[in-house]
Amino acid sequence: MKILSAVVLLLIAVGAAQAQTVSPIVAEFQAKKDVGPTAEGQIVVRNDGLQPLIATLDPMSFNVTSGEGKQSFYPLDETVSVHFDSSSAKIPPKGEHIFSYRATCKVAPCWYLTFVSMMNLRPKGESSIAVALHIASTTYIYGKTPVRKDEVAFSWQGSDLHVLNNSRECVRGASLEAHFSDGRVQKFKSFPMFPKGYAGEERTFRFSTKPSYVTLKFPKFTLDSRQQ
Amino acid sequence: MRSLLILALAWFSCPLMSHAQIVNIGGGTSSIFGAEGGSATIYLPNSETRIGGGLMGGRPIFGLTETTRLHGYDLSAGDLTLPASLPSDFSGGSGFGFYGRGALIHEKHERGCSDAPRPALSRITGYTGIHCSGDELVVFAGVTSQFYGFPMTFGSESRGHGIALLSYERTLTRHWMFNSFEVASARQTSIQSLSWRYNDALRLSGSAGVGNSKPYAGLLFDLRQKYEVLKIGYGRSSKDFRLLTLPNALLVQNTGLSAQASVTPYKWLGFTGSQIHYQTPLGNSSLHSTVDTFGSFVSSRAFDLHATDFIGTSSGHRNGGQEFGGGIRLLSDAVSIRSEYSSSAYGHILLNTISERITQRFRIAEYINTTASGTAVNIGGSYSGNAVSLNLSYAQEFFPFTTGKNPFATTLTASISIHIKNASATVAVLANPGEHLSYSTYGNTYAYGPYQGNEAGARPRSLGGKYVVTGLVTLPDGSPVQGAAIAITDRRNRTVLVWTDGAGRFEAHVRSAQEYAVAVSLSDFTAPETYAVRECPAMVKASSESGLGHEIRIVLERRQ
Repeated sequence: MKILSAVVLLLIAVGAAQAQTVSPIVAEFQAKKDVGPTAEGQIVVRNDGLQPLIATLDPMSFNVTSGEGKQSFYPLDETVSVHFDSSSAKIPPKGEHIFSYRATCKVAPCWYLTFVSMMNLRPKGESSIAVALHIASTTYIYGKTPVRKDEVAFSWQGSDLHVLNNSRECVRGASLEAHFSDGRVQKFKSFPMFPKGYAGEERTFRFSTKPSYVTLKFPKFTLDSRQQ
Repeated sequence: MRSLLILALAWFSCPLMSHAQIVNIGGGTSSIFGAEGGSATIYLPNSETRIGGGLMGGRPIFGLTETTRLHGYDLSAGDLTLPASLPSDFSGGSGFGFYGRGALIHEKHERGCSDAPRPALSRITGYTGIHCSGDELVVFAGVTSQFYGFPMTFGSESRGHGIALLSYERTLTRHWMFNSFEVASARQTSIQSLSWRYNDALRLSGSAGVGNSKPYAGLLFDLRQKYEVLKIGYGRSSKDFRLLTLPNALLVQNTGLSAQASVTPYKWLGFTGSQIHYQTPLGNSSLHSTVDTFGSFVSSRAFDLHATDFIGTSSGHRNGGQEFGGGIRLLSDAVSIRSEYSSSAYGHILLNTISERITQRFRIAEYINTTASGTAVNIGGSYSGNAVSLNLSYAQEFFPFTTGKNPFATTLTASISIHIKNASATVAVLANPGEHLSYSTYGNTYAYGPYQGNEAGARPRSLGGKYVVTGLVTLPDGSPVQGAAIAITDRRNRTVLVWTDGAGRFEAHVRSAQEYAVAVSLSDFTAPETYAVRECPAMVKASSESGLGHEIRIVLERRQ
């Protein structure tokens, strides 16, 4: 009976864990003249499963290493303060919960992410398997001056492309397209570039062969290696 | 009659519900649809049963659908939605279908899906941006039916003919795809299609065969570029062509030459235009309708402008008009001002809307509606909370097949939704000018069997407010406990239940800086192990949200 219970629970738990969403995945804000670097937004957690879920929010700071761009997470930096209207909630089946937040930074730009952990309630009686789903919602708060085209530079080292942010601002690359001589196109999407002096000011994109040309799209401008 | 229906529903539901793990039960009434009734969906680990019943226009309706998965096949029986679209259909993207009562086998092997809507595509209404390639087989045997689906119930009447259907789609190569649509009934349908696709940017499809024993041929050219979308379709068929014979005219077919184009040379500038011909079966003949639309838009983060010309022609009657509008968004979308003007041979409507964001969840709006008969000022707004959502809004709609009166009309919609635990209830009101107020009210809830989540004692609610009770839940060695449930109760015996995060921390928002009772709610844990409470303060004083150093500590120990 216990084995049957575990099998039934696992089937339902897997089914429930497949259908949860968090939005937005990335939220971007601009510092304002009167209130400084502040973000007021909402994180919507949707439960498309058939069981109620418990969602808990866990804001954390993160860094991206220069070069390969590997992420590392650590407790929320003291310069960032995030207040949620509630930090946990029970979400009904086929329902959603809106978490409102207000984030303030001492200096701009700043960034953090909120881990949304979604877990089933523990079943009655029988021993159980814990299924937790973690989805991150990342928030960027930019300064008042957007990054200019001449502040982002790129260079080649063999077939490796190095992109460097020389500004004091954070900028999120919308996409990078590498066009090869045989007609292939390799795409990278949504990569953050942190201000000069921070880890993550430089990103390296490795290719097996050097592309004919690359285009880097940022929110306000596009860089094209053919124009260099 | 109503008692009989309820008894029938209960009789069908009881044996299934006693074994069910999750049951969704709903019901309601609607004057918008002229229907009332209820439904139950019973979820078992590998199957789903849906039962509905009620009254529509005073007539009883009943529906039953059973779906199960066996060896990679979906097997269904009862009231079903069946495919009825061809790759060459101009409006096929919206997924035409019909209803039947019988048994169905469905098998699908997806080889890859793309979901990359380009900017220009989003200007075309109905474009979903999703295409999957692979093989799909649908086999059905039964009778066609008239289906009624409402938020509160569903049902059907089998008034049609016996049919056998086979729909088969096969990806031949990377670029080529073959479809076959066969229906055996009193009259025969056999239509074969071939499609050629290049990188999801260009698609050419052709179909030919007989439908309802009458010849049919169709072609579709579909080009989707980053800045341009062009879709041209041509259908040729006799007047009494039908894809299949149905009791009611549900299947609308595109006929003649239809075209739809969208160009966005810049992010902020775009043009759209379309002329679409429809053929709707009507008894032994067909109703021909045409909708022409030509428009343009200019938009930026702060403002937008648009202008559209509509012409609708149906049975030789022509009606149309123009619509112009624009809006500006101020103070990071805190205030938005919009004006929409529509004009036709029957008059004009000017609708000005000023909307203010009061909080992140609450907006209010003022509507100033000017027509030939005068000016009216109305107040609306919306609130989207987790327990309650409210909406009261006015919108200008174009009704293309209206004859003898203004095809533009301002409609009022109002709705309130309430969510309590796993139940929700909605009341919606719709008011069209010159018509009675109509409404829908419905609700549903979930019930759980013995293997499902522990529902006892769960009282998640927010006490709201700017004060906070925070704490840390750990084991005796200091390691955090994630998913521990803590109950915070105020002097009026109102309780909020909160859960710990990955660091073992919890936070409860409360209205005042009074003392609150703290308790560990062991039955509401999400953590899989069993725990006992070693240390927990009985009372805690809430601090202001910005306050520091008021974190309480709760220590648990694991039980074997």
